[in-house]
Amino acid sequence: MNSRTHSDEQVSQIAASLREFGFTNPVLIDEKCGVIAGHGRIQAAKKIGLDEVPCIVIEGLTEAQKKAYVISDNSIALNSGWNLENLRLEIESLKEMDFDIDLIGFDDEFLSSLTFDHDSEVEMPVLADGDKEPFQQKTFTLHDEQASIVDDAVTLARSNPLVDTGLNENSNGNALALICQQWLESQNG
Amino acid sequence: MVSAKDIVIKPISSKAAEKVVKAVHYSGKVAAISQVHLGAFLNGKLEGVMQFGPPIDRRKLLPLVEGTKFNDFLELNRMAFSDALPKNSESRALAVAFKLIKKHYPNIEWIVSFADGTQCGDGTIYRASGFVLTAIRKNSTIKQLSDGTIAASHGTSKKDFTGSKTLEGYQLRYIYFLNPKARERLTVPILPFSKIDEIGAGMYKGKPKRDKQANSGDQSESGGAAPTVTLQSQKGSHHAQ
Repeated sequence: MNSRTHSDEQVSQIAASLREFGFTNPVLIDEKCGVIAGHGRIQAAKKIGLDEVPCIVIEGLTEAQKKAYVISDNSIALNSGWNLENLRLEIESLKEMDFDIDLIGFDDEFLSSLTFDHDSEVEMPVLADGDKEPFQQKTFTLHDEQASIVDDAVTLARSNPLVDTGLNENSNGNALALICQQWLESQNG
Repeated sequence: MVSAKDIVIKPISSKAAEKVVKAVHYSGKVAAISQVHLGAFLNGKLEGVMQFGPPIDRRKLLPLVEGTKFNDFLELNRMAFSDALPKNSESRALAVAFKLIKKHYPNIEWIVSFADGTQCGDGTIYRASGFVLTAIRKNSTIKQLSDGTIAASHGTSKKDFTGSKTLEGYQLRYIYFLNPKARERLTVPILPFSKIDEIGAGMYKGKPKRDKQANSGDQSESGGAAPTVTLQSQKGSHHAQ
């Protein structure tokens, strides 16, 4: 029994590979022609009308070993990874050789993710130059009760004769600066 | 035979640049603050990027060169080149990038960049490209978080650094002067490149250097233009912080 699944798409990929490269990896069978490894290849061979496929007979395995091999033949291969940068360069190289990269078993989405796309015409962006405007907007998150205290203090401070209006036209900003300045002065004794 | 002179540098979108940085840069992380994204093309294919933008801590860096206006310097935030590019590509690409920046932004007087001597290298590319070395500091900002990821703990970082470990190594600050006269206004001393090995800050391909002579040569005489090997990542690609 094979617990590994082979989608129609994958069988088609294997079939395309068999056509391009030939049957390079024989099916593994036991003494009774039970398939140990190569279920997908057999389905692909049927799909392209092959009557015979090369096999290697594995003798002497216990039932447990056969079952384990069927699984491990697939699962161990899944444990490897890809060096994506090297893979990208190899695929680029194949493209340059006009090789049909549909045959290497990756879907279009993955192939696209490996390619460094670029825009044909991008202008140099406009950057600010010179000195920054001497104004800043600051944002704070306040609880409703805190907001109410700040509002009351700013409203009161706006009419205070000590407010310096020489730097800034924003009355709330001037009031807040006065409050903070007075608080700082109180800290300094 | 392909040479570094075959590389074409032109602006690309941030999206295109980010894809290259994610795939090729040792950190795999993009610098969101970057504004100018320059692509390095070989035979019409994008194979590398240089990203420039304002530094995160602009106000701290501004006084490095006296009289610099707020928007008149940039940081080279990221540099990531694939192995498809030939030897010495980085120096060539930087030279062309600096010409482009001078042409389009004549106000930009200098470029600052940092070499990550905790994971990457001590700035071989910068030294080969005419940058001057202005600081070697023991790393205090690049940290390994408890989940194993590596992040920089600067003011705007939203990561949780509780239980994080500061990476061993150094950060090296380099400056390139687009306006040579701005060099006269530098407010910090220019360090000789030999200082890197003197204090044990040498790193190449993510590994500390053992050869104490590796960075000999005084930039005040050579101008830092001595040809050197390219800086490469553990992934095998070329990059800078």
